[in-house]
Amino acid sequence: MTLKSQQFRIPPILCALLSPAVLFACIGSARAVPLRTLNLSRPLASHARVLIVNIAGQVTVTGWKHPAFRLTGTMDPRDRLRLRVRGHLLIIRIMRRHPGPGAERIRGAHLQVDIPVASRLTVRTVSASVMAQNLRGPIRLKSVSGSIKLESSSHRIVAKSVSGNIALDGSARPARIVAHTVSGRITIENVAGRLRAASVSGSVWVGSKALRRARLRTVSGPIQFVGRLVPGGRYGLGSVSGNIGFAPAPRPGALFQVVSLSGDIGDAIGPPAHPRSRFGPGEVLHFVSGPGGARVRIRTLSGNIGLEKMTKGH
Amino acid sequence: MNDQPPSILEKALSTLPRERAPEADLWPGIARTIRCRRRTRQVVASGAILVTAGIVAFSFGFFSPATVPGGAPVVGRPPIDLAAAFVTRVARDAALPRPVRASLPADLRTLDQAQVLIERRLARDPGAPAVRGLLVQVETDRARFLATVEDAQLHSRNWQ
Repeated sequence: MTLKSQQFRIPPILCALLSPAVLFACIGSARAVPLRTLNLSRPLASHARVLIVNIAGQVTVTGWKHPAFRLTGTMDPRDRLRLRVRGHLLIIRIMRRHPGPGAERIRGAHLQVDIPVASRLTVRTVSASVMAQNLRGPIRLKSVSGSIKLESSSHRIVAKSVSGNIALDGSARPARIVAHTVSGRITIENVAGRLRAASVSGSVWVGSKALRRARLRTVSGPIQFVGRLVPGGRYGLGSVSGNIGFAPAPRPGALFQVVSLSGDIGDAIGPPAHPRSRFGPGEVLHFVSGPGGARVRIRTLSGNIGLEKMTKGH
Repeated sequence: MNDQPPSILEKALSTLPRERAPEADLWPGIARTIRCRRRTRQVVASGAILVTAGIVAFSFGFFSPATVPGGAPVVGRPPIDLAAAFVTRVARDAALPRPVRASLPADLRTLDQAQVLIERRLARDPGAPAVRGLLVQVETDRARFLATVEDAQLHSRNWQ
């Protein structure tokens, strides 16, 4: 019996099966690095400016009545936290230490930040989602691919994202609100004052009873407006190829100017639309519905327009 | 035979003047003719160049997807499109999240298609204010889109 025959040899098939398992085990051990737990609190002015920057994960900001801030949550130990507090200024910044091919596997930071209600808040993230609630000061939220959700009574709201969805609920009366996305969905409700919302390919849905001016635009996404028209209000809805739905409260006092250059107009609150030309496509509808002096301008190139009565389903 | 004295005719011939000055200066007319021929040649050459350039331009315009008659909504901008080049470069950028990288070119195509649709419509109906308004809107959206993309790229790089 030769020495070779006595040696223990692993069959090649077993090697092929074991090597991925070993690889996954290595990755698993790398992922099993415990998360760093955050628990910080310091005094902060009640009208402080707050800037929060995160990459991946989540940022949740809540307003409270105390003149201080509290930061809790978890973060990847390979990331770095930079904190700066100076009376009226608070900066929380998560810095990534290991960019590169494996950067997408790094777990993000999940931050819960409590700040004074009247703070001026700015949040910027890359893929982290943003949630803010119970705030009164000006709010500016910006994300690349993370979603943005805000419940506040702020008088100045700016929310922008590239592919993340934006959901705004509530505002001061009145307020100025701006919401822009490229391909995300925009949902806005219970706001008052002036609103500008625009998207390229995402949809825009607005439900409100106290908007004085609304300017809603998309390129290919649909637009839906549901709510009450304020006397003297101005409402402009425009899309290139998206469908537009407009469902005002019963007896809207407004001048309606509705044009669809290639699409149809479905009208349930006024006279029937008539064709733009004798032989070409498109429809036009101009009519006045009661007193009030509001003005509604809706136009689309190739989308359809639906004027509907507001129902509970809306 | 040649030693004979010249005849009366030959004497008369020898008395005739050997040169005769022209009654008028002919050179200006000759110069004008030459100049005129040169100019004609230049005009013909310029015309040929223009006609060739026109044929080439027409051929490219005719075969480009933007003017395919009855075709589907046009995808594509003029050959040198800085916006498309910029977005393509950003879409390859590993610093941006993957869903963003995937959706950027599609969104730019949406804007391009919208613009082509509006321009076609505007060509048929130049006086329609609604169409002009939509064109302004799409141009604004395009500018905002590019600004957003640039902003996202800058931020995602700064934060890493």
